[in-house]
Amino acid sequence: MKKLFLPFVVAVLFSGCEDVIDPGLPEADDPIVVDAWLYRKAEPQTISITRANAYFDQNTPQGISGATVNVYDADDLSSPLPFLEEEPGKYVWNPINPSDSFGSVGQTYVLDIELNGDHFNSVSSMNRVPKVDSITWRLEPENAFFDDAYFGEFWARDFAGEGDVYWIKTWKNGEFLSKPHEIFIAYDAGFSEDGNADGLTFIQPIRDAMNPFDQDEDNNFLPPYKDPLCENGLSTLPREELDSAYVEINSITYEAYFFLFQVQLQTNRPGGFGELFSTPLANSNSNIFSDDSDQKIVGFFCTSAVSGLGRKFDCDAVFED
Amino acid sequence: MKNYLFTFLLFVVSFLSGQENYTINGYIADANDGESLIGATVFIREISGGNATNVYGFYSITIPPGEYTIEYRYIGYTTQIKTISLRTDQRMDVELVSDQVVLEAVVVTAEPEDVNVSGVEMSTAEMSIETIRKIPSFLGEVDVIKSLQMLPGVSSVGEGSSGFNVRGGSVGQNLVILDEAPVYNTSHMLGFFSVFNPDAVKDVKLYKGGIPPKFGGRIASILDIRMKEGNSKKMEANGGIGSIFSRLAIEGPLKKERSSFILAGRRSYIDVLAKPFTDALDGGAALYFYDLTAKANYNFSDQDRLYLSGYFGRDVFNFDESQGINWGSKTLALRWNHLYNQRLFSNLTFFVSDYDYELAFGDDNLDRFEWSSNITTLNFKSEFTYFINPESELTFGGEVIKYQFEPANAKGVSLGEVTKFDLPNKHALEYALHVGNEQKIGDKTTVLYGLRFSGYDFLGPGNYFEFGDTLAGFRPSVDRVSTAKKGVSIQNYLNLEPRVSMKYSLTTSASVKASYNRTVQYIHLISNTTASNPLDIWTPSTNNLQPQIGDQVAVGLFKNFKDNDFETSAEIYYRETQNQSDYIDGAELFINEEIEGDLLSGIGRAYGFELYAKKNEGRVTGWVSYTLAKTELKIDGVNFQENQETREGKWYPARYDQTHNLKVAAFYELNARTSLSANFSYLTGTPTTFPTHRYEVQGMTIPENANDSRNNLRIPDYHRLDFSITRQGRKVSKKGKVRKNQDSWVITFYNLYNRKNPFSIYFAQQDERYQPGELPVTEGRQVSILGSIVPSFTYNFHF
Repeated sequence: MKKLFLPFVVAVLFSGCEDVIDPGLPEADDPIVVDAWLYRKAEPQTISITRANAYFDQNTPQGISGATVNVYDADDLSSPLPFLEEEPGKYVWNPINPSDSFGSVGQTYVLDIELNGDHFNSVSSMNRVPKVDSITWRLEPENAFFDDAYFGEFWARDFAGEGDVYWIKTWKNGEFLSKPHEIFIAYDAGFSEDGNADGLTFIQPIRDAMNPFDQDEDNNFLPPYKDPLCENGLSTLPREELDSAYVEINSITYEAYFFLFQVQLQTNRPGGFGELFSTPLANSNSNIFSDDSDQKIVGFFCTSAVSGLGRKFDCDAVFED
Repeated sequence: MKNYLFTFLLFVVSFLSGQENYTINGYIADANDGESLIGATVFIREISGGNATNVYGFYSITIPPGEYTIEYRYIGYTTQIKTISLRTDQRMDVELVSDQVVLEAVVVTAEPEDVNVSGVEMSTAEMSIETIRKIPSFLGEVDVIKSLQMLPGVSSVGEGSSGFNVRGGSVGQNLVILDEAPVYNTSHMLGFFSVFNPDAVKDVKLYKGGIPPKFGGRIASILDIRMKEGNSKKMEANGGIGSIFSRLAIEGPLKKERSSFILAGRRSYIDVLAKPFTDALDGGAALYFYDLTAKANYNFSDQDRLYLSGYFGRDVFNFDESQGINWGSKTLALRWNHLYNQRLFSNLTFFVSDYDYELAFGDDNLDRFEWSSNITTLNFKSEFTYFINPESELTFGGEVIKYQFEPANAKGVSLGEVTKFDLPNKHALEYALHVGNEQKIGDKTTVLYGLRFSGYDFLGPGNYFEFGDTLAGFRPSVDRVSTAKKGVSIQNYLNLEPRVSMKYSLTTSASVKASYNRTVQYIHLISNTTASNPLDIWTPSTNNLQPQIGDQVAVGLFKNFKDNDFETSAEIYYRETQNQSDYIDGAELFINEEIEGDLLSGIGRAYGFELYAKKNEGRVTGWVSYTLAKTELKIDGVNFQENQETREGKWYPARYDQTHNLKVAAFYELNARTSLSANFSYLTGTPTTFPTHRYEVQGMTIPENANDSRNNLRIPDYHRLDFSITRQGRKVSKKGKVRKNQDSWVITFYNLYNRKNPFSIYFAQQDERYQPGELPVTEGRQVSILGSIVPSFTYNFHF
């Protein structure tokens, strides 16, 4: 957030001139996309293998069939966890018992994909994840960008021991906040290695990750969460109309942290004057490697442990300073 | 090395003390305000030769005794002719009268100089402040750096870039010095205005090649800006009121004709004016810049002059009272000119320079983030010029620069819990010794040759890193972190930088020149953004990051026509550079102690052809400059394309590579009080990188350049026309009295035909909320920083 704050603000203060254009793009062989992010949750896990589309092509990418996909616990390379093709390009692992989760914390996993004689491999570990202790909302007074509005924050504490990295995801009213500026990664309780935030409560800008920043047609910022309109400690709104939030902390590996960092740089474009501070286009490096160096692979393999908490934004969730 | 120098000196001195020659020397100044004149010609008819004044206005010529007729000449001033009988050393301080005097007819200037043909300097561009004032400028504010871009070989990537490029060099490869003190960021408001107040500037000279041994430390160019000393005869006030900022400069004598000062300030107020029109500026928000340039000098005696100059400026963007960003520089320079004897002129400079930037956000003391960074330098420089005889001049001297880099002092406060994330400071020492000789050989040839010996130490106290091996383009692991104590040299570099230029006269109005120089740069401007901006980081060379080395060869043909009414030149150059930096994908440059691990190193080459034609006389004057050039880099890990396994890089165009660079400047004197000027710029679009594919991972749509290429396409070309009208106020009031206030009105139209010049093209998805399963729409977007005509109106006054 902090390095994105500057371009964000510059873009707001000066709307530069921007035009949508349709340039011709150079051509290249289509890379194979492997989206292999596995979560320790009691539900089926999917690895998808597709062909990348040309940049302006919005169609659903074509699935690649016929691959053999296995994930191995590094301690037991003889018993693979199989991922079976259920639809073209979608390879699914189903838990034996519905309450089983994929993987365990502290283990290292190896990904092996065999496709047309080539092998694609990768390694990831499943790291520990702290609980989300609570979620509260506070009233922020008016500033240059917002009128009075309620902001939510989640509370959790990083483990002691440097180098825990996380990906923080939020669902507001059941909808996943998936815009590029809503990708939040944390290194210990801060943003990066030099943040010196080991063992602390997640710092303010990360706690605020759960707030969406949408604009209306006049480019005014909409409040992140709806005011519950409290009177005498009770909301005057019917319960169905109150906002709710679900925050999930996913543990990731250091390579995944770097991958998501690159994805943030590439997708969260400030636009307008903010482009004065942005970096040129670059690829987000994959951690999946092919035997055949001519075949380009993009995408990522990561195994995440998950902890989450949901809360309805009712009057008892308001945190007064 | 030191012994060699000393012996050489002794030899020269002893050889010459046997001759029976006498010296004429002195200072040449403007009769009206006492400002010393830089580069004024002292021409002795009887020997068909002479000299020019140095940057302090001093000249010295040693010749046999006799009767001589001396012409003192300077462009824009009436030539003075003095006859002397030289029997002993003579001091001749001369004051020249400007001939920009009121005339009803067209202004006639003195005979134009042919110094572009006769001088040995090549690849230099000198612009007088008068010319700079005439060029139509953005928002009517006269700008030194923008004016230089009208000359061949100089360009920028567009509005919004806070620097300029010279002969395919990057922004950080230019050394900009203001009265000898280096300036690290030369612009205000992201490149729209430069930090140099034109009311305080006297002379601007840009060395693009053929750099003399007394300069060093940067690869591409040296921009030498000299401030006025201040009117030593009477008080003077200059200023202007414009749409964006106002200026006021006050100068005058402290002790008549012995001591003077100048104080010039500017402040912008666009935020104050815009306040009623937007609520983005409520609640303490502010957007402004200011600068203050000051100088005082004292002539103690005929032999000694002391100068004290300073600059203080700041840019502020505040979102409210407690949040915002700001950056600025402060410099202070103390200089002493001393004449050891009639022929040995010395200048000693001591200066301090500080450039810092800060960022703060968070509404209160319980939750806050503050970051600041700065670079402080302490410098001592000595320069001696020995005027041996009219054919030969020797310069020598030395310089020591002490750097302190504070890459980050940062503090985060979360619920009152304070976390400090300071990066340790870095220290370095840069030093050099130089010696050079300018020698006329016969009538037609002049040679300037010399050697600069430079050295550098990366010093403790501080940490230093050793990195493991990795494939080029991936972040390596840190193998070892070590700490060095104060004063210990962690890494040392020594370099010899030979310099040579020569001129051969083909005829009296044509000459051919050639030069070769090697330059070494020990500190680097790190930027991974599309254009340079004020948050770019200056970083010292270390055990990992090696100094940049540049070798440039240039050849040129210079010809004047019709008695110097027309000047033309054609020059070609070729420069190779080593240890050029680029970055890994996803480089972390902000608060990263291990930043060197994210840098990649390679080589560069730049070559081009510059054409220049200038008309000096008549009602219509101006110039055309055209440069055809290429600048590229070859760095492993970048643009490796089909070299997927080794990731060996292929040559790719630099971000500031502009193939065609055409500039036309025209000035027309409509009548005695009105003049029009126009300039036109055309630049090839800069290179950029386009994606080829997109792919989805966990709901994120990610672009991919499957060719692994860099800067493979170009954004559309840049072109712009500016126009301005200047109307001088009446010199004589209607009642017949001479007006004390000489004023003028300037109306400027920047970007006259309203072109939205592209700055960059980027690719992103539309900012919508997509349902699960719905794929975002990705687009290409072209960003322009300025999209319309910008008219402005300025009132200038002069008392």
